[in-house]
This record gives sequence, structure tokens and C-alpha cells, in this order.
Amino acid sequence: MDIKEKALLYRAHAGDRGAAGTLYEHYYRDIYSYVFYRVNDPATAEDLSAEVFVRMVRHLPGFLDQGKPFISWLYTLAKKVIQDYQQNPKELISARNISGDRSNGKSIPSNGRSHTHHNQHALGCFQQALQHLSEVHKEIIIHRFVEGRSVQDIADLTNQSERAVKTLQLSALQSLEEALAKENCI
Amino acid sequence: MRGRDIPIIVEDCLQRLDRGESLPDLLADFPAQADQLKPLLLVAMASRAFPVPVPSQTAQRLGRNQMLAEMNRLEIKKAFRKKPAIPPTSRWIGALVRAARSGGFTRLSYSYRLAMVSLVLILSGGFFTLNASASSQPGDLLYNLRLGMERAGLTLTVADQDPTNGSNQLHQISPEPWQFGQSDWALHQIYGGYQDLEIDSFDFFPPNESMPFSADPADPDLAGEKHLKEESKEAAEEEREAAKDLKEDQKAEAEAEREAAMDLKEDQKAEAEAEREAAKDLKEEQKEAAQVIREAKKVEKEADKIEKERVKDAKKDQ
Repeated sequence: MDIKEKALLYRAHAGDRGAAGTLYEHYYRDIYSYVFYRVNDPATAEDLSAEVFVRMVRHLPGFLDQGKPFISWLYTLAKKVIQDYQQNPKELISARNISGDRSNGKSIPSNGRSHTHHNQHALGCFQQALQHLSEVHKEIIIHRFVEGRSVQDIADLTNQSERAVKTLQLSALQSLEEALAKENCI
Repeated sequence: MRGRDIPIIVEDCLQRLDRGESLPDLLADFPAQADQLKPLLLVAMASRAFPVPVPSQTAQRLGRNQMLAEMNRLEIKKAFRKKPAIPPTSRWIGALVRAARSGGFTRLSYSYRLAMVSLVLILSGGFFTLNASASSQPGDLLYNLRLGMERAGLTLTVADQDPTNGSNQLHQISPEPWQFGQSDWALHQIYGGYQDLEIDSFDFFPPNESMPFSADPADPDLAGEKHLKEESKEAAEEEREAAKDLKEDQKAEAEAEREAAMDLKEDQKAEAEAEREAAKDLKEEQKEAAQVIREAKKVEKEADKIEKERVKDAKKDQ
């Protein structure tokens, strides 16, 4: 965690809305992307991502800087939010109807990568196949291939050694290959 | 290449793909693992082609508002949070712990420390024994201690009273039994001491009624007189006892009222103390938060300064 991020966290903890807003802008997309591939629904991902930041301000007094990136703590919160959603979906998605032009389960715009009809089909296939994977494998695939993080970054985020991440990466790719075959995607 | 190296080979291939090398070139470098690597690398390449999802602007704005609303809610909750009153015992223990932490306790010599610890142990042991004796029953080991404590309590209670007040109360209660004594004495004087007087001259009884007893000691009715005297004495005794009971009841009531008033005062005092402490804590928290913000801003400025200098140096180097 760099010194600027630390300063932002201190200010957000002290009730500075500007600092909290900066943290939100900085991390929202990463969290949304992570949640999106875990729940497989854009509108739900939006609701759950918002819940992650609500919990962030709620639990900020209990945050301990252990030298890990701040986003690893946000990923931990996101995992808990997803877990709570899977146990009780109605509780977390109560505010969806008040949103205006939200995604409502429609396809999502990409980050500049080519986005044709064929890709839409492939994306659906990939998302379906991802649901067959274990939580650990899903996490590795999302961080490494969707978000494009390095093995070292993932090791920092997940508090594991690089060797362990490489082994997990291999087993995750093998599981994904099997899942894609199951979904007739390859 | 051994099988256990596959994870490292896969990572190596992925990095080379990122650098722009082609898949056939990579597979050619690992002919023994080519069959195993090919599907995995294809899946990895396909995964990388998937888009990073982008949320709608509205959702992003809504999420931010939800977060800020939560911050408001937490602030309001914090402002209205009232800290529970800390019992005096805990405060003393806390003060002792703080003193011990600050080194005051460790600076004392060994014998002083031993004496202090022994004193605390003896006092706490005595306190717990007295507490335990309060619920003891006759025949128990601690029953005598309980009796002793009760006696001591009674002695102290009597000593607390104002002696003049006590005599006044006695004086107020005495007339009733004294009235019996007076009538007794009057009867004795009339029918015993003044026999030479004409009884008829006294108009104690209506003329049509006979006297209840005779003045003559030899009269068998004198036994009735004695009996009446005894009854009067007994009645006086009973009344004295009743008055005594009444007095004790009033005393107990007054004592209970005094204790209730004292408890109320202590509660109010403790509440006021807790409020003062809560206000003090809130002020300290606000002060700390302001200090943290100041420090954070300072650090931020320093970081900016360092960054600017670094950029300046980089420009100079160019």
C-alpha cells in the first residue's frame, strides 16, 4: 500500500467523503468485474459491488494494514457479499427496482476489446463454463486472464507463494478446459 | 522436462505469448509437453480475449450515493452513541493497570511490591469471606461471623442517632401507659389511703349504678381490684411493646428512604460522570481524527513534493 493510498484511507476513516469517493472511483471497476464473473448477471453485479463499498465504510475502523494491497481486503469483502447473496438473494437485491437505466441483465460494453456477435456468444459460453469451477479456480481465472494481473500480484492478493499460484493456475486452466468442453464451447 | 515443472512452463509460455511470440514457436520449444500445453494455452488465450465488464454510469453513481449515505448513517450513530457507565471498581483496576504499565509499580522495591500484593490479597480475602458469611445459616462455619457483623451494624446504627431526638420520641409515646399508672394511683388513693372520706361525696359513678369494687381490703372484691391492676399492667406493657414496634418500623422506613435517596444520588452522580466522560471521549476522538487528517495531508504533500522532484530530475536527465 503506497503512502497516498494510506492517507486516503485515514481520511476516509475520519469521515472525509472526498477520500471515500476517490477510493470508490479507483476500485469500483475492479470489484465490479470480479463480482460480475462470479454471479454472471450485470444488474446483480452492480448491486453487490455497491454493497461491497457500503461494507467498506462500515468496516474501515477494523481494517489493519498488513502490508498487502488494499484491494485484497476489498476482494475479501466482495467474497463475503457474494456468499451472503448466494445464501439469501432477496436481502441484498432489494433496491434494484429504483435504478433507472441500469444493465437489467443485458449484455455489457467491453473495455475496448473487439466485441462482435461471435464474441457475445463466446462470452456467454465462458461465463457458463466458469460457473462449473471451484471458487479458488474462478478467482485465479478472473484475476489472471480477465483482469490481466501478474502471478506476483495474485500472490500478494491471495497471500500465497508464486509457486502455489502457478500450480493453481495450471489446475484452473485444466478445469476450465473441461468445463468449456461440457458446455460445447470448444 | 519433469512433470512437476509444468506449472512453471505454462507461466513461462503465457509470458512469452504476452511478449508477442506465436503458439507454434512456443510448442516447438517444449516438444515433450506440446500435447499437454496446447489446449491449456488455447484456453488461456481465449480467456484473455473476454471483455472486462464495464458497469453503467447510473449504477456507479447509485453505488457511490449508497456508500455516502452509509457514512452519514454511521456518523449519526456515532454521535448518539452513549458509552456505558464504567463501574468505580473497574476504574480503580484500570488506574492500577495504567500505573503498572507506566512503570510506577516496577520502580518500587521488591519488599514494597510484596507488601502491596499481600495487602490486596488480605483485603480481598476478607471482603469475600464477609460476603460469603452474609448467606450463612446457623451451624455453618461463618455463622458466628455473620452474627458479629450484624451486631456491629446495629451498634453503628444506634450510634448514628441523635440522642435528644430519641428521648423526645420516648416522651411522645409514654403518656398512654402513664395514664394507666395515674388512674391506678388515683384509685389507690381514693379507696385505700382516704378511707375516712365519705365515698358518697365522690360522684364517680351514677347514682343508680353500684360501685364495681369495694374500698375495704377485706372485701372479696379486692381480689377483683388486683386482677384489674394486673390487667392494666399487661395492657400497658402490650401498648409499650406496640409503641416500640411502631418506633422500630418508622426507623426502618426512614433508613430505607435515606438509602433510596443515597442510591438515587449516586446513580445521578454516576450518570453525570458517564456523560462527562462520553463528551470528553468524543472530543478526544474528534481531536485525534483532526490530527490524523492533518498528518495525512502533510504526508500527501510530501509525497507530491517527492514526485515533483522526481519528475524534475527525470526531465533534467533527459
